[in-house]
Amino acid sequence: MPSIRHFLEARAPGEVWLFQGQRSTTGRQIIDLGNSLLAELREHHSAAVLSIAHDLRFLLALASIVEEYPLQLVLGRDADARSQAEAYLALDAILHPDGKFEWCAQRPVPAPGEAGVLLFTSGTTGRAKLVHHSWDALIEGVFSRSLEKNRGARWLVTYQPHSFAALQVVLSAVLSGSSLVMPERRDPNAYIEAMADHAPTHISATPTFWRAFLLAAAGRTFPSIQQVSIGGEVVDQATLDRLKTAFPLARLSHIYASSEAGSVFSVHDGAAGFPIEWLAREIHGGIRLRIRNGALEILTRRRMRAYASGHPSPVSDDGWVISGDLVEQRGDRVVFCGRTDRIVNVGGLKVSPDEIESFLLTHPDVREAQVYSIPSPLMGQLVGARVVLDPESDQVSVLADVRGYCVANLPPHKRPRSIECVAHVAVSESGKKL
Amino acid sequence: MIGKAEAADAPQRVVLDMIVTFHAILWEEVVAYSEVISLIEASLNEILRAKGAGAIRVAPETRLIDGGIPIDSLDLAQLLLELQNGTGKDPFANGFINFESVDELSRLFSC
Repeated sequence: MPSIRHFLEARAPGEVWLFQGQRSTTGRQIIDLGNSLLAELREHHSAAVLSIAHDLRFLLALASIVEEYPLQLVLGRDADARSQAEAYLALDAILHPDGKFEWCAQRPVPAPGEAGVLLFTSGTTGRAKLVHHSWDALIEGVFSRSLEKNRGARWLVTYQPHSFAALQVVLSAVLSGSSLVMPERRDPNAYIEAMADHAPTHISATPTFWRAFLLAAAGRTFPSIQQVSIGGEVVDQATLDRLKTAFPLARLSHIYASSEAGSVFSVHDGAAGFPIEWLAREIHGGIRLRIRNGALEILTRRRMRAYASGHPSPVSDDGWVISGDLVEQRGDRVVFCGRTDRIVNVGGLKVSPDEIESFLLTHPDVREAQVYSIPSPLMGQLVGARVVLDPESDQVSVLADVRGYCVANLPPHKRPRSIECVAHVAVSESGKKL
Repeated sequence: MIGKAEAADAPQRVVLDMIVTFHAILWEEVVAYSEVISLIEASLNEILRAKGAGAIRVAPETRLIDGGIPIDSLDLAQLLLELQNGTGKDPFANGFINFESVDELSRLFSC
């Protein structure tokens, strides 16, 4: 398996490949930084490291030393991640945002089997899960994709630096000889500025990010964009269509991946879901898909090693990853409908909020939708919705039209019984709707 | 300090204040009751309009269930939601309370 260091060394001396705000970094500088961090880790016999440094230089520098050193790297958002991580494992060091190590109690260097990267999942309920991946499986997952297509690309990083998705983008850029752009702020206007300053060619983001971006970027064109990727939440047809209109010359890809299953597949035909025939055969990377109890299951050797947090394994007895993603067969496609752990129970009838959000987004004046459950003394729960409407539209009449649209097209139990117009919806740190 | 004349008037003032307060409470409840009936009628008509049904007038004795109004249990649940939002009250917080007429429902949300 190729090493990250090998690819960094292959860069031309002085070639800038990382743009973060006003700072630019070469591959050589990353290697030097990796060597410096490695020397410190060796000196302190430290291998289990929590990094809360959001600077991508440190993530890459640490990744560049994993072949030489059995690093157990935990990626966390902030100082709170320390107590969360220490509930499950003994940390040797914390790498702070300023690039300085804080040394913890020493312990023997871990056996090679323990090395890898540990990430907190973006789940919104219960205590955080800590997912353990091996570096080999991560790199293999990225390397097996068509990296040739991405050669020379410039990726705009929209994900939190400590997320699985960001790690995928960063590794993909390194292994394909691409460069990275990350703005200092994570809001649509900062990304629009970064696009003007650095002309990225590739962007990968969640549907929620894309919808907010399209609202903020209305009227602008981005001719440099060649690749638009979307994933991390249910990818609906309306959002795919809007992206195709906004980026008519770009390749549009729906990426399906998860912290647990790793990178699974990409669909490039602009249609929601994936071809039903994929259920009947092995797909790219030797991966198999099946549907059990209405949810997608995945057989893949790129999956996580285990939950380091002791949560029940999401892997079935026969080795399939139980994704929790609800799917339906519609014609020749399998489409995603929501999550098994995000269901509204209306008088005993189950409703997926994601399905209703996807439906609301098919209304021509709805730019974003957030569906939630409302306690009801009569039915247990009802469906409620918040919508962001086209700012150019007459909000009062359009809201009435949206209500009529729901009555005309949704069965009674799926209709939002409360629909309010909002300026924006709540979004998690990982760029997904709450 | 209260003066002698004021002290002599004090019992009368207390009685007067009690009468004023009693009237205010009574008036507030009467107004709230009629407001809830208006809210029920407006909400029902909004639900019916969205379903393509004609508008209705309601009276205290109007039966909400099996009384000829073309609404189902989900519509009724929506009506309760509108009343909760409109009055800020949740009479079902400690469990469901049966009601059949507009009068019974109005009393739940106006008391």
